[in-house]
Formats: sequence, structure tokens, C-alpha cells
Amino acid sequence: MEKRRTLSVDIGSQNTRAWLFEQREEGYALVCSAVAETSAASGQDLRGGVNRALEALQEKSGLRLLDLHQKLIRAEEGVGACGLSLSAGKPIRTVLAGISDTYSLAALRRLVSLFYTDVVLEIDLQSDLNATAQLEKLIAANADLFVCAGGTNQGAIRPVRAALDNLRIVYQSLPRLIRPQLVYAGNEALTDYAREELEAGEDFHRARNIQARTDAESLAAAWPAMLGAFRRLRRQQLPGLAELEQDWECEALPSAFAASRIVRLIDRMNPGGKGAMALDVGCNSTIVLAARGEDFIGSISHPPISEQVGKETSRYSTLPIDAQTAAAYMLNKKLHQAFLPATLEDLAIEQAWTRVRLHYALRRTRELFPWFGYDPELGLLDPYEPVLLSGESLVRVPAPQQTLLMALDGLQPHGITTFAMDKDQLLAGLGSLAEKEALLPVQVIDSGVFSNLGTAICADASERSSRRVLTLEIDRGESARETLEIRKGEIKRVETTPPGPTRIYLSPNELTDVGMGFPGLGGWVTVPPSEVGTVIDARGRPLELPEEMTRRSEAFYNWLWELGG
Amino acid sequence: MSTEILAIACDQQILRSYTLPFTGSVLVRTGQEVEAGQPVAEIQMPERYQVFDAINGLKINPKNIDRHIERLVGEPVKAGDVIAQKSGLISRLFRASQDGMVVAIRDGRITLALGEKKLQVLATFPGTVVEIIPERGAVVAVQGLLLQGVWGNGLNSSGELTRLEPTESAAGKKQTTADLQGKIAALPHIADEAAFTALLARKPAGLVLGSVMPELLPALAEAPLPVMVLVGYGEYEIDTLSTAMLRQMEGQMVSLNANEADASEQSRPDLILPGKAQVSPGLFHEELQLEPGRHVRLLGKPYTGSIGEIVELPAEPEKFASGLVMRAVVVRREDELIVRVPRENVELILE
Repeated sequence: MEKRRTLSVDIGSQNTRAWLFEQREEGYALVCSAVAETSAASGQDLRGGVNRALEALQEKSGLRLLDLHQKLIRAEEGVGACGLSLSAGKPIRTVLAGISDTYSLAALRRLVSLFYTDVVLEIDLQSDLNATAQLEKLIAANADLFVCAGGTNQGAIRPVRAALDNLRIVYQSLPRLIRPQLVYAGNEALTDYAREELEAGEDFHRARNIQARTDAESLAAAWPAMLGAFRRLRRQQLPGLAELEQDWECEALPSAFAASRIVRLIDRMNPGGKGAMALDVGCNSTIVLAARGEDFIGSISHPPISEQVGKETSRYSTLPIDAQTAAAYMLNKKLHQAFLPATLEDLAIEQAWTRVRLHYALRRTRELFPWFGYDPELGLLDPYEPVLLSGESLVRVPAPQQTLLMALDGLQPHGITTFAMDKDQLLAGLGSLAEKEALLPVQVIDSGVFSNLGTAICADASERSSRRVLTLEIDRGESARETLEIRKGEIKRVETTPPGPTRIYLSPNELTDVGMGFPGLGGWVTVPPSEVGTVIDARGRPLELPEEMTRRSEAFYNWLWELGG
Repeated sequence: MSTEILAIACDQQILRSYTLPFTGSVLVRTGQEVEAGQPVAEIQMPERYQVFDAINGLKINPKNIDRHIERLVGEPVKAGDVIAQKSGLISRLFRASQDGMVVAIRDGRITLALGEKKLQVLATFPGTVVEIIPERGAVVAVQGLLLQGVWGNGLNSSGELTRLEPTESAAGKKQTTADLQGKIAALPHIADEAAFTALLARKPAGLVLGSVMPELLPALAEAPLPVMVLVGYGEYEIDTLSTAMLRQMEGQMVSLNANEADASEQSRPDLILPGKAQVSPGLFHEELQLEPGRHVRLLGKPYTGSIGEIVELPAEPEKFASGLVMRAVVVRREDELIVRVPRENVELILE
């Protein structure tokens, strides 16, 4: 029987990644992956980079994927379904127009946060801004995308009508080479009016009301319209994209949106679980995705480089490095994004900056989604399991222990969770195939493409430093059980090597919370084999770091040593 | 892996597109010589817009609004023209305050586009138009000396290049005279804001800096004149090739295009000394890649800014001091020291 093959490609700002999957007797499996430099600069055709990635994929897999004309070989002897995701391209200049700052504008910020947008203007339709000033601002924004919402389905219409009038003038008057896209996700009584009024043809994207009732918000109601707008813009901006979509019979998804499908899928694969989270830290942006039941949170943030960020980075460095040196490193890295740390000092700054970027991204996510359980002081309060780590800054690291410590310091989780690593940076690649081959992501995930980095047991105790807060009894299936005492301020590792799972009995003291329900409550935990093992983090929340730079870097060094890194 | 290309070239064909963000009129033709600052393309746009709510402004019954509006959409208007009126004992009028056009009438709201402004895109160096981009602009070419940098604040200007000694930027050494007026000044390093302010007081037309300290970035970004950084943030010397290029340009009229560096557009800020040689429009650059014999500039401590020649490109990845395993490039620096650095951490020099 001919094996069914499926291809997925993710076009990033620097790299184009390609993955080839194959249907085997036991289900779909990843055959191999390849990376090539993205060709999107200066109006270059995207297909150049894609073809180079496919050539590398051919070489690795030994399978012929491209014909003599560099076209993908389809049908029975070639590739069946294709998936395409995209994060290349400049941020989409976006204007949000909503009926109030705290209500519809807040929802719109959440809506556009996964679509690589740069919100250049927000218009509160109930503010004092007069129509002339509003129009002037809309024109000056020179936006690629206008997203308008406001009003429940039986709510106010007058301010929205006035805004639509201005949007029509902006759309019709400016002779932009790339036509702006208009998404309407407000009061459904006005949808037809909006379409007729704007006269924007296929540049108008109608969505269901994201706030049909005052007590309900559904961002998913506007996702199809946002995807339509995203694709139309990117097809105009990125040469070769439209042709690629046509040849491959697929439509591109924003990479973060594609990845979010897999996070939601992982959550659904564990019904009644704690929820799933994915963090992607790259040189340009940090992506936070979290799903639990019907709740979904997603954001892309671009941390600034400032004096404060320099200070924070210096604070989290494993070597004594001052804020100015850290800031110089970050600014130089911004100039040369492919730069990789070759020295211990550069690595220390890079990893400290990763922690700071995680803090910033979680804070930003909390600003967008006020119900997101994160406190800048106390860390991640909501339990998520697994937490999937991805992106160059978390994956391209000398040792897995370093990745795990960065994640623990960046998130400061509570209770018990498992960290997994997406070494092949597959999330987006799987997400863009989820609609066409629904079984593929499930089976590929089940095949173990995400490596189990380790289990973290965070013991939060209002005890003084060095006091015993937790006792562990470790059962490896052998006759004798090991016992381990954990003191406040310590981080310890229990190796959990194959073949079998390890059982750990947690016996916290009465002031220690290990996430079993309330302080003092313990119990058995079964942990699977993992790269780092089970890490018991009793350093407390917030993480207390020595004030003096040398002592602080020693503390990080010692923690990493405890993890075996 | 993407290799950054840095041009420090003596006889380089320099091509630059000048395009409008909107469709407009191209003002030049192929083969035409253009000067720095000459408009290449332009578009006329309304200077401002005005939205007038005739229902509330003139106290008109919405049902009768059509009777009171005197103009149609698309109709041009002159300053003083009546656009809408309500007659009566005391008549109320809405007049155009400037020449313009009615762009919309909806629900009693009249939108006027008033006045006119030109949006132009200007050539930043003298050269020859080699290609017209219909309705948007043109490509201008020149043969000359090209020195690229890593950061620019988005401005550009022209002037005679003068090189300053490192001591001339020391904060204590204050000079209040405008002795740099009209000149592009190049100097190795600026350490603090006081030194930068003192330099600005000498009224240069532009600045080319080897390196700057990170805390100076906001001041550089806000500076009213073009500023370009050649090497990066921190305290680094200007590499020898760039220094030699600055020496060649010294005393001559140069164009400083301190564009914001944009990796997605493969664009960098640069300093150009236009030459007299004829441009050859059909000529394409050879594709540069890392190979033995090529010169590179090194990134990352302790080598930042030093120049060397590639002597070897090992096929197998190597483990570096950081613990990361990366593909290396072996470089012989100018001081004959042989160093191994990750391939990502070099800029390939286009000479």
C-alpha cells in the first residue's frame, strides 16, 4: 500500500520550516523536518525559501517531493494534503474602533492579539472625539486593517454608524497600493448596513458579534473574518503566497493561530485536566497560548528593550553582568537577529533575557485577559499541565536543565505541572493541518514528538529559609524507597529515568502547599521518565533573589547545578 | 542560516527604489540624472477633512435634510461656497472654509476634503534613473563608494565629510561654535549624552558614529539630524575597512542615508560618495556567500567589530564555550589571530 504523505510548512520571518508526515500502520508519524532561510525580504518570492526547505526535506527523507519545475509532486505518488502557516511579514497596522474602552475595545484587543497586528490607533466611539478629528486620525493611521465592533445585538447603533461612515471615506479615499481590510464584528443588526455602507467588496469581512450579549464574549465568532482579512493582506504583501496556496490547495494560517489549535486540542485530549499552555520565545516575539475547556487565551508580545529591561535581565543573569552590558547585548541582538551566544557571558544574558521576556509576555497577557491567573509578583497562579515550551530561545539551549530553569523562573508556577519541549517547533505545522487531517495531530502527538522535559513540584511555604518544608518518599519499584527532605529556598531534582514511571509520595509540612488542594495536604504522584527528572522547587513565590550581584549569580549557578545542568 | 551582508565597497553600483506609499505621479524618466533632494514621485492629497453634522449644526428636521444640502458628493467647492443652508428669518449657513470637494453625505453628515498637500518622495543621493515603477516611483542608480552601518534614525542629508578625533567628543571638551555647520561628522564613539549634546551644538548636518552606549539610543532616535551607527552598541572601535573608507571620503560631498535598518527589507543605513563612473543598468550583483578568502566582520564579544578573512568552513558543527553546538567559520583576523566563531555571528563584507 502506498503510504499517505502530508506536508506542512511554516514561513517565519527568518526561517521556513517544513515537516513531512507519513501514515503508517500505527498512525501518522513525523518522517523528518527541514529548515531554510525565508525569502521574503525586498519583495522576494516566498516560494524560493519554501523550495529550499523542501529540497532539504527531500535530501533528509530520500523521497522525491519536487518535480523538474520545482513544483510539489501531488497525488498518489507524492504529497496528499498540505498545510501552510505564516508569521513572516511586517506587523499588520491595525485600527480598532469600539463603543467603549473597557467593553468592546478590550475585546477587540484580545481578538487581534493572535494575528500579528500592531495596533496603531484605538477609537472609543463614546469619547469626546468629534467626527472630523476621528476621520483625521483614521487617515493618519495609514492602517492595513480596521476592526470595528460595538453594541450588543439589540444595542446602540448611532456611534457605530458614524464610525462606519468615516471608515468608508478612509477606504474609498486613500489610493493605497495594498487595499486595507475591514472586519466588522459588532451589533449584527448593522452587519448588512456595514457591508453596503463600506462598499469594500471582498475587502469587507463580516463576523458574528463578539459580544452578542453584555455577559458573553466570543472571540471565536470573529476568527473566520480575521483569518480572511489576514490572508487577503498577506497575499498582497508577500509575493508568491497566493500562488503557493493555489498550487497546494490550502489557505495560510497565522502561525500563532495555527499553534493555538494544537494547544486547544491538547487540552481536549485531557478532559477534566488542568488546561494546556504553550510558550514560544523567539528573538522577535513571545507567544503565550493557554486553553482550558471553553476558555482560550492567546497573545503575541514584543518586549521593549529599555533601561528597566536591562536591569531586570542583569538581575536574572547566571553571571555577574551589569544592566548596561545586558542592554548592549539586547540592542545588538536586535540588529543581528540570527546572532547566537558563543560565550558563557552571552549565554547568561540570553537566558536571563528569556526569563524577562516570559515575565513581560505573561504580564501583557494578563493586561489583555484580566481573568488570566498570573500575578507579576507571585507568578502563574492558574494550574496548566502540560506547559509546552517552544521557540529558539527555549529550544536552542545547551542543556535541557537550562530550559527548565528558565521556564520555572519565567513562569514561577504553583503546584505540580509537567514541562514538555517542542524541539522540532511543530506546533504551527500541526495546527495548519488540523482541519484537513483531523487525526494527524492527535496521532503525531501520541507518537511522542514532544519531549518530556520534566515534572515540577512547586512547594510554596510561608516558612523561614532553610526550614524543612517537604519530605519525599521515592518509589522506583525497587525494594528500598528513598527519602528526600526539602528545605525552604532549595531546588532539588529526582531523576526519573526509563523504563517505568516513578512514584513519589509528597509529605508537606502544615504550612506547605504543593498544589494538592490546601497547605499540608500531600499524596502520591506518579511521574513518567523525563529528560531532567522531577524538580522540587521550594524557592518560594515570589522568587527571592540575593541583592548583591555576585551572590545572586551564585544562587542561579547553584540552582542549575542542583538540576544537573 | 541567513548571512548578513555588509557593504564597505569602493566601486559599487548602488541601486535604490524611491516609492510612494500610495499610487501617484512619477516625476522622472528613465535615464534622467537626479540630484539629492529632487522629487522622484508625488501625490496630491487633501490637506484636511471636515465633517459637518447639518442636522444638529443647522437645526434641520432630518426628514427634510435633502432640501437643505446644496452640493452633491464628488462636487468641487470653493472657499466660501454654501454647502448647506437653512433659510428663514435668521438663515443658517455652512460654507466651505477652503477649496476642496464634497466626499460624502450620509445621514445629514457632510464630509469635505479641503485644501491640498503634496506628498513627495525625494532622491537621497545624486544618480541616474534606471527604472520607473509605474504610479509609484523610480529606481535611482549611482556608481560610487558605499559604507553601510547597522543603525539609523530615519533621516538623511548631504554634506562634506569630516572626521573627528575621539577626544573631540569628550564631554568636557565643549565647543560652542557651529564649526561643523553643513558637514557630516564621523567619530569613533560617543560615551554619554553630554558629549552628544556638545556635538549637536556644533551644528553638523549629520553624524556617523562607530559605536554608542545603549543609554544614548533615545537621544539618537530623537536627534533632529541624521545619525548612523557603524558597528553597534557598546564601546567598540570602527573596523579598519570602514576607517579606510571614511578616510577616502573625507573632505568630499557625501550623502548620509540614515534609514532605519530593516532586516525584512534587507536595508541598512549608509553613507555614499557618488562617483563619476557610468552606471551599468543590466549588471547584477554576484550572490555572496561564506567562502574562504572572503572578508567578514565579527559579531559578539570579544571580537565585535574586528575584520578577518575566512580560512575554513568546517562541515561538522562544533561546540562553543557557551555549550551550544553550531556550525563554525574559521577566520584569520588582521592581527593574524585565528578564531572560530559561529557562522551566524559574522557579517559578510561586500567589497
